[in-house]
Amino acid sequence: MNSNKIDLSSSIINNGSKIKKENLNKYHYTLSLLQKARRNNLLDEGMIKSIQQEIFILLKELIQKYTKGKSSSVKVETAEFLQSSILYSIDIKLSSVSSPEDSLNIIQEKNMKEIYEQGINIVESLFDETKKLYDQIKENRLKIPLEVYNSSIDQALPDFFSNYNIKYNASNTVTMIDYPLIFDDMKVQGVLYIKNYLETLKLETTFCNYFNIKDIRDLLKKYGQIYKVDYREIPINLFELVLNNSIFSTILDDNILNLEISISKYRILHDLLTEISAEKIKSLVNRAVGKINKELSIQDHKLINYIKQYIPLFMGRLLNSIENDCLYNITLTDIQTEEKDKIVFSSRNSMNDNIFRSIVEKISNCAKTDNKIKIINTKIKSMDDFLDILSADCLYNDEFFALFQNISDMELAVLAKIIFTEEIRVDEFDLSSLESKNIEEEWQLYYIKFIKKLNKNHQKQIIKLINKIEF
Amino acid sequence: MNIPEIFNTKKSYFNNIMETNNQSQSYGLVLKEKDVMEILNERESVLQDQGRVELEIGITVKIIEFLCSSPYVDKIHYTEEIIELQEIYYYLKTETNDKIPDNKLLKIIFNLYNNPCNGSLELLKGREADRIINAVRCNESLPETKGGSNQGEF
Repeated sequence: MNSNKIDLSSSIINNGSKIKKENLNKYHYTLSLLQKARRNNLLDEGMIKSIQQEIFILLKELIQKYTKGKSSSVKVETAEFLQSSILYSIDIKLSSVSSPEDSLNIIQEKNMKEIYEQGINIVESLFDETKKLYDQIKENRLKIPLEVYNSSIDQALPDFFSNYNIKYNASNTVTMIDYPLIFDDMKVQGVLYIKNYLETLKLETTFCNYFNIKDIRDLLKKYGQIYKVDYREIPINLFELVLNNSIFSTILDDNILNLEISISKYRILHDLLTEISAEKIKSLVNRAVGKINKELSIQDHKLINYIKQYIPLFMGRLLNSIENDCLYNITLTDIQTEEKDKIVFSSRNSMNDNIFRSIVEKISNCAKTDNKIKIINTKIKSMDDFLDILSADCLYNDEFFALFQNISDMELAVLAKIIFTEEIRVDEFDLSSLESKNIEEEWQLYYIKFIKKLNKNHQKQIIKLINKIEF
Repeated sequence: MNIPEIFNTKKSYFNNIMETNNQSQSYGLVLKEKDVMEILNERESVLQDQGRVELEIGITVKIIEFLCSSPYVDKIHYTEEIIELQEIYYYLKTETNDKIPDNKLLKIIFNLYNNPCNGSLELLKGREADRIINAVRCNESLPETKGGSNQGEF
């Protein structure tokens, strides 16, 4: 027993409800446990200091091992990751028991060195367990030409198993996995993150494996056709694509394994979903999901819960797409090319470089904003030239606002489509929540400021136009 | 827990520095309490500037033990030179990306200080420090570590 600590057992039992596991920070379990225990008088200041001192000694020893005794000083960042590594193993040991009271009992009975060493043993077991899980996933992988999926399995995950350092850097996940999962808690670190990732990937893969792989491939190709991207290179989640279309097929009373929504079926679905309330849509979706679980005989409760967890997310996207009149985005129907009232912009009719340069010079020489806009209105006839003018350093600050005020909603929509190509692919694209991160050009910053000032109805009108535009 | 604060504390190291007077007084050099505090304050500050933490006070003690027996130091500049050598040491430790072990780096610094610098800290922190950094960056051999005296041999 740690001589610096008093007998806690009675007070912990009597104060069993004082600390609830859900109130602790699961990413920094030990530190938040100590804070809460101190606040609830389960540990006194002296004991907290003694625990900190023990962790400090562990850190000192680890630094000595890390430098092989050849350096008495290290960079702060080195000390920080070594300290994180120690706390990671201690966290794993202390959170391995069922309640915070049990964790405090461990602190009472053992010193931090023992807890740390037992934590390391658990991390080692988790690592072995995670490696086995990876081997299973590799064997049952989907045969699909999706680069992010394959590179995650063939490169990123093996990188983790080769480079993960339990002793010195246990909290570092050491790899970047590109394949996105529907639910992925990226605040979790180290082997626990990889274990969670693989467990979730296993659930998603199990679900996808109920479907014909060729149908999944076709669905992916359809996605590529609709969004005019190389489907092999998109960072997309397969589970989501498959489940969405399975839900739609089920709502249409079609075979739940059918992932293709034809144009005629899309029309039926569109008419159905646009005429009923959100509540009724929710009930239809829930019924469809129940039917999918039943007909596929899904027994795994984790998978059933995972699908259940996805439904609110799906509902949000579905209702949004109905509201913005772009249901085809979520059903992956190539209705766009068939009957969408599309507006196509071409790059033709751009002026030659000399004429363009002389116009830029004229605009630059104008002192008044009104005159600048007049020149743009009369001389610029193509969207390519218009974009070049915006980037030509001939307009400044409020002049951009004046110009945007002067152009049509259609032109504003085209500009949005150019700046937010990626975001527009997502159904919840919303002009009021645009962010100026990753913005490359000055005019784009002013565009965002301008568009955010428009009222909601005006923004909706522009969104509708955005959905109709194709380049 | 703030790591630099935990490690780089000067409180516990005061006596370690005072004890170096046992050796240095035979050379007529003695650090007063205010000198020791100044050395420790400057150490803390240079560690912070270089983004480092240190487990113990050993480097400073070794610098003092070397310097007190050097023919190039006098009473007036004793404290100042200790502080400057400390600064040069941590600067080089960081700039060479921790690739030179403590003892080897101290040995290089002490030998260069004696010869060719002949006690000139300006030369040591200018030309010679650049040579060391470049040698490590270009993976070339380090300046000669064999000195004429036993000083700095650890």
